[in-house]
Amino acid sequence: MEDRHVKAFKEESYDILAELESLLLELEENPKDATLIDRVFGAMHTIKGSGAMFGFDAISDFTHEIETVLDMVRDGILPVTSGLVRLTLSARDKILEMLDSGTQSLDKEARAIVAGFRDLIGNDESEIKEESEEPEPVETTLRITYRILFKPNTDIFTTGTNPLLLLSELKAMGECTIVARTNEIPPLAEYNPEACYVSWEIILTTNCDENAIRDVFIFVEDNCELSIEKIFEHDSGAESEDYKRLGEILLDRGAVTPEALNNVLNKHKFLGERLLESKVISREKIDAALKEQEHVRKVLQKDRDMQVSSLRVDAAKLDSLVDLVGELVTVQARLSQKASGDNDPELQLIAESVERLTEELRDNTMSIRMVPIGTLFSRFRRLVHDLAGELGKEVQIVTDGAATELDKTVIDQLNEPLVHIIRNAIDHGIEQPAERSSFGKPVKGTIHLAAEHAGASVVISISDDGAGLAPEILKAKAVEKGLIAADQELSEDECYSLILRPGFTTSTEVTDVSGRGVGMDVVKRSIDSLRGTIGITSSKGIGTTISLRLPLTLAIIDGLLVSVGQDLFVIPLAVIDECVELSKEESIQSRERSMMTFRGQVHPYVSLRHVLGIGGVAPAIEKVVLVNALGKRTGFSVDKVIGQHQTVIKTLSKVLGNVEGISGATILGDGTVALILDVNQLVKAERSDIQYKAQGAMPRRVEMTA
Amino acid sequence: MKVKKKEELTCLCLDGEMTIHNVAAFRDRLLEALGGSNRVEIDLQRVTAMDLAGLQILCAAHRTSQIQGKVLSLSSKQLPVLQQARCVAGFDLIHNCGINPAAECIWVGGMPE
Repeated sequence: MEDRHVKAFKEESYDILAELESLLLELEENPKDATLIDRVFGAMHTIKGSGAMFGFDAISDFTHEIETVLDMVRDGILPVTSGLVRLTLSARDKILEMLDSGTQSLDKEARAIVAGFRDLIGNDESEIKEESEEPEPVETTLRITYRILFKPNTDIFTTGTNPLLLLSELKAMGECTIVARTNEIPPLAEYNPEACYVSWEIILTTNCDENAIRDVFIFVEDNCELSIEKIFEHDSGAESEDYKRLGEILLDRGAVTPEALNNVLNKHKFLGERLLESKVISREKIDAALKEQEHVRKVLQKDRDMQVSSLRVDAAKLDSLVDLVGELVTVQARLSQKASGDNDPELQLIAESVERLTEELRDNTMSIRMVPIGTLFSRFRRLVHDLAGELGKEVQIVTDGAATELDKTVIDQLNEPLVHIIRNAIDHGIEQPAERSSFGKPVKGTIHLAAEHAGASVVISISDDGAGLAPEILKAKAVEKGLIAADQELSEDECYSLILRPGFTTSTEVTDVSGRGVGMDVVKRSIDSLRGTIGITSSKGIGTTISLRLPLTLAIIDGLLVSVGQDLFVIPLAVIDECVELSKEESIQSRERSMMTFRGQVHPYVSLRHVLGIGGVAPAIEKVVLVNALGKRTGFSVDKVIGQHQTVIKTLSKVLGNVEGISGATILGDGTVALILDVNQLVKAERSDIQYKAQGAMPRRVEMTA
Repeated sequence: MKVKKKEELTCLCLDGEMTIHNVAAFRDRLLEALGGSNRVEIDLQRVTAMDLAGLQILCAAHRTSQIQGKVLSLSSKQLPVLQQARCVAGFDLIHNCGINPAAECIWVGGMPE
């Protein structure tokens, strides 16, 4: 069995490797970005360190070689080239592979990568080995902030010492704020070119202990004044409080006397300005103290951020939590129903409180499952990079709305469809560079991934600026494949949706990437199973956009409970615009024409009793629920509107799973079952019904047994 | 080193390594420029290296100008060698040295965020 720590290490490494990948791709675009280089180096360093700690020695050794090169890149000795990025990317893949296999030795491929890195620095093996023997500096786990005063003697330059090198060393030990004290610099006439007039205050937050800091100054000990003071201990376990206020820092530093401070505090203004006005202290001292405050606050904030973001929970635990909340919602509904039936004010009060709490609990539980879609997007950078290289095309990927959150289950199931869509876009959509420039388009094609919230759903759109789809060609292909009849009339949109049919491909040759006729139908199926819809728009020569509309969550929705005859149904609240009443005459008229007029506008009218094949007679006054389906408002007539209902979605069994117009079921408070209506499908079915009617054919019915 | 005079404004173009080894020569140039003009602009575009002594001498020149009631400014604060040296040496202060409270410190601005 795998050790818990090893498992944690692996999980962490997967995260780091994922981040590393996107960092590298970003670095390829901005090779001069020093922060990116630092982060790449940091990622490798972490993997190396924790790899060694958990017994993944092969990974640690391997990573060490890469780190050596990256270190030189960081120091500006080696430039960032696309060759280096490619090599590092393949090293990253190798680490992933080694992590999975748990191997303890480097295979041929790994050795080739190492050799590649060594070639870059032109070093022979012995030299690298030697460096690896060097012990890592001892670090204590406790982070401490020190205030260091460093005042070199004026003749320090004559000993050949460069104080800036010492400061750089301190900088490398942790987070460091350096403030120079320059007030002793004389005017030029009195200036001795060989003298050092500057002294420093350094605020350093580090894992190293005081001795390690003293070691930095070991060679100048006799040539300077040095004081090191511990000013703050960062105990990661404790509640981190705010850092001292300015007055406390100044007192602490002995820069101001308590009396002087109290005198000034009686006036109203910022303390710093007050002290300054009353001339008890120089601006320089206040600035230095303010810098200290800023530094520690920044470090504390980072600590806090780290604490917040580092909770890791097994997804299965979350799933069972959601299940439990689902049960609770059902029971709560029962309680509310019971309370409203009994005439007991106290019970009603309790029921209301339970309802409110349950609602909050539900929302919170759902939000835990929400994951920003950016994690998914970042995976595609690599895909685009590799595919474009394979096909000799130049493609960049641009993302928008990466912070948009979606249910984890939805995100997990989105990967495959998005891969298919992006592959298609690069293979069929984006043209070869030469072709593009002949059309006057930028040589580099763009894939644009965007996500945004739209009510209770999220719309993800994948656009390319490639050739676009040609409706005539699509239709001709479909006829050739026997998917449609040659004389069938198709609108432009219907032509586009042909690409979602199984076995449809326009590609004349099958490539490695796509064109085998599997793909888009898989996309369709995956999106259907997520209760989402696909929209395609395209203009020839300009590009294609595929938009996926997906529900935010799969587990619980807000719904409107309605009844037809004895049967209960739930309509998702998100699609409902309003509820209206129709008089008997209006109802009869509407039924005859399948149209209703409301507020002077004509809307399609669907009788649920009719489409679902429920017998009985409609009541004199019918309620109509106006829903927004397939981009149009449609009225659904029902017998009664019962009210809002928190709906825990239970999927239907396989036998019933394909019933059109029904997307699931839910259990009500009293134990009865209500079916959840899929209004989009119902409207679609009804529209084709109308077409059939127009052609004199029998209307199609959705047969169902409740 | 070149000195270009545009009416009152003296433009002092410094070049080479502004380090401890030749800071004495820079001191003389700066003194000369301040002696001959009331407004001096220092252009560091051609400076290839900068250490603490270089930063110090610029600071000293600025102080001299303030004592003499003159104006001295840096025209090339974005220069990477300058930024780098200032970053390590902590020369990104916001206060002035108090010689002329109304004047801005020579080290205000020019640093990347």
